[in-house]
Amino acid sequence: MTDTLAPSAIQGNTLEYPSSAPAVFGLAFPWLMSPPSYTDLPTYWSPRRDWVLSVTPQKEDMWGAAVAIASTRFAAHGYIIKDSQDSSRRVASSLQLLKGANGGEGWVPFALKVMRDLLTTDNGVFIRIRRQGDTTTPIRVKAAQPAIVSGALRQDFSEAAVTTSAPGSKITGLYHLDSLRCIRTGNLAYPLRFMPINGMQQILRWDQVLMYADQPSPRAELFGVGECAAGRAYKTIAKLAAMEQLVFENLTGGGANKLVFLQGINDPTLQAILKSGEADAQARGLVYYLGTILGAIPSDTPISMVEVKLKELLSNFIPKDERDNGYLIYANTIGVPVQSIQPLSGQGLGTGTQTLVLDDAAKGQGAMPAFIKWWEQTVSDRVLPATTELQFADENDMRDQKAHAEVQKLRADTRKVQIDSGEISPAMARQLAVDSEDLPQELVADDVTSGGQLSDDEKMTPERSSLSPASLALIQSAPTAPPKQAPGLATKDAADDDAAALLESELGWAKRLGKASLRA
Amino acid sequence: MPNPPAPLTWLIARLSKLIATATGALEADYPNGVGDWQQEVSRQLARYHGAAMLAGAEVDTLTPEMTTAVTTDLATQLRFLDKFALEMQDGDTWQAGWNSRANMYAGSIKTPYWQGNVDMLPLPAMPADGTSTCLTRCTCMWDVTKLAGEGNYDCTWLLGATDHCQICKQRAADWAPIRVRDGVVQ
Repeated sequence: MTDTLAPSAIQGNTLEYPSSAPAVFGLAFPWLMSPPSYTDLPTYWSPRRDWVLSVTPQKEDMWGAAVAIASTRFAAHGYIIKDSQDSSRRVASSLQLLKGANGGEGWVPFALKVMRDLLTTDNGVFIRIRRQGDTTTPIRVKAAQPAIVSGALRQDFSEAAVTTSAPGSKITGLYHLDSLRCIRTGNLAYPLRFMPINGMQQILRWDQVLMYADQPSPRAELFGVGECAAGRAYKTIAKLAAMEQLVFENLTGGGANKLVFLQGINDPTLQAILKSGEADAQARGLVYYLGTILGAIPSDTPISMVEVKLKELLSNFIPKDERDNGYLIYANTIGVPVQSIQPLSGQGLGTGTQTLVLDDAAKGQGAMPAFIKWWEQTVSDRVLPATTELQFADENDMRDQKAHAEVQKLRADTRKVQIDSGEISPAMARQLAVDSEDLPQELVADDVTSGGQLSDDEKMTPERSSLSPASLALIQSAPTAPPKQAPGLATKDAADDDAAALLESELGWAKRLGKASLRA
Repeated sequence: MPNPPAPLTWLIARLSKLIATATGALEADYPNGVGDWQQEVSRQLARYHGAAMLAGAEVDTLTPEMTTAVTTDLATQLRFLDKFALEMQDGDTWQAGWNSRANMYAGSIKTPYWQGNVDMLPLPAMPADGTSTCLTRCTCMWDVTKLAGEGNYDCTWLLGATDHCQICKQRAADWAPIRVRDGVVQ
């Protein structure tokens, strides 16, 4: 600590969670917040818990696969950046921001890291926003802590780096921050402390970081820490890991399954048999009997055997049922269709329709869909320019496109019926089409409902400026009345046709009678 | 109570006589001849609907708008006539009410007459158009006063000399007058 450092001007505390503080709180808080633990998972919540959760993909293979599937799905998911004023410059720079995330590393590695943190840490996801004109200054913290323990990290917190730049200045980059190195402070203005590998801790201002956690806790003392998918499925992960380990040991001969006492044979004889057997087995590449511990008891009686089983699955224990149930829990906690984790081929549910149904059902539930929604809204509102929006939509998914086109056609049909019935005019129909994004806003002269309705992933756009000459020409050519129906296409029945034909054939008589009546 | 216009009275009287003659002939030959009767009445309705529109508008030629209106009115009556003819074909004996029912078709030409008479204004109803309880027996009429400017009218629903249904009485109270300004009903 140097005396030349500027004192902190930050209002409020920027220390870490009460639960990880070294004082009595640090011991009492997780105990107060947690149910009894039946696992080796540290109690909820302390940074140490996230260290355990973050390595769960290495603990159980299928969980690791499920996390990888979800992460790669997010990373490979298509997204659209659109600008309400069709500014190609803004769209291009916004796209570049995402494509050049993590200092140019790119979108895919950035997204994989983000999703991994989301699924395997309660602390959640942290994304650093870098702005033009960022200037980092070291400061002396108010409540200096020479050395604190946060999870497994020990870092000095007598001084910290604070970055200053105008909150509205241009965003130049997005960086993923390691969740295990992030500490929520509960300070609304400076909500995060980041512990870099090198250098002093950084205190980040609200506009310099995006924070998210799956299932954030409503407890004020937790500062928004959540309950990640790995934590929710931890018992299942641990159970399946133990089960697979047992199967593995059974198959590879690792570990002892049973204890066998042989009576009537002495130990040297048994060792000699084993040795020759082992050599023979190794020669054949077999090590099967190693799971059994053989013990010789010398006696004069005929050879007999007593078995003591050391480990064995229960007789009514069905591993497949446990696996199926486990995979379902994985799918539900992450928010992916279960058949993404475990293909259903060969089972009763293994049809293409079932896949579609499950895929649809998985949309909007679980950690991943909720995160995508948050990501869309937050990036649109806090990262991209005011008129630019991010939307996760798989443009390459023909099923999505078909569904979109079908809904558009339904809306167009509805508008046609409304015009035909006289309920609305073609001009109103065009306005409705613009509102539902079936028609570009540029193609109506005056969007009378502009800004009147916004969905949760849209944002308020500035009033439209002047129209281009091309737009004006298109608007001027817009129909003002419903199209005239071609002869014979009108909705008529036989009586209309008969009446028209009859009138035409009797028109001469009608004229004569009309004149005669006027003379009467 | 105003008298009905003379041209309309003349047309209705002639058509009524023609229909009565045709119906009398059908009664004599019944159950044969229903098809011929329907054909004859249809032809007469077409002539007199067209004539009523021309007489009401006091013009020699039907405009496309008038043709459409007459066709619509005529088609409505032809549908009723079709049902009537089917009923007669299905019957065994001549019904006493059929003569009177057939005669009602003559009253249907009041609708095109008044449409022509009010210059095809988009008024909410026409006498005898079937929207009132009295159906084609309606004797009410429109009194249209043209005001200064294009498309400006005051239109009053006048009750006829005979008994009136409740709907017509209400119309006479509500539409006294109904204002049309720039061709639009106010």
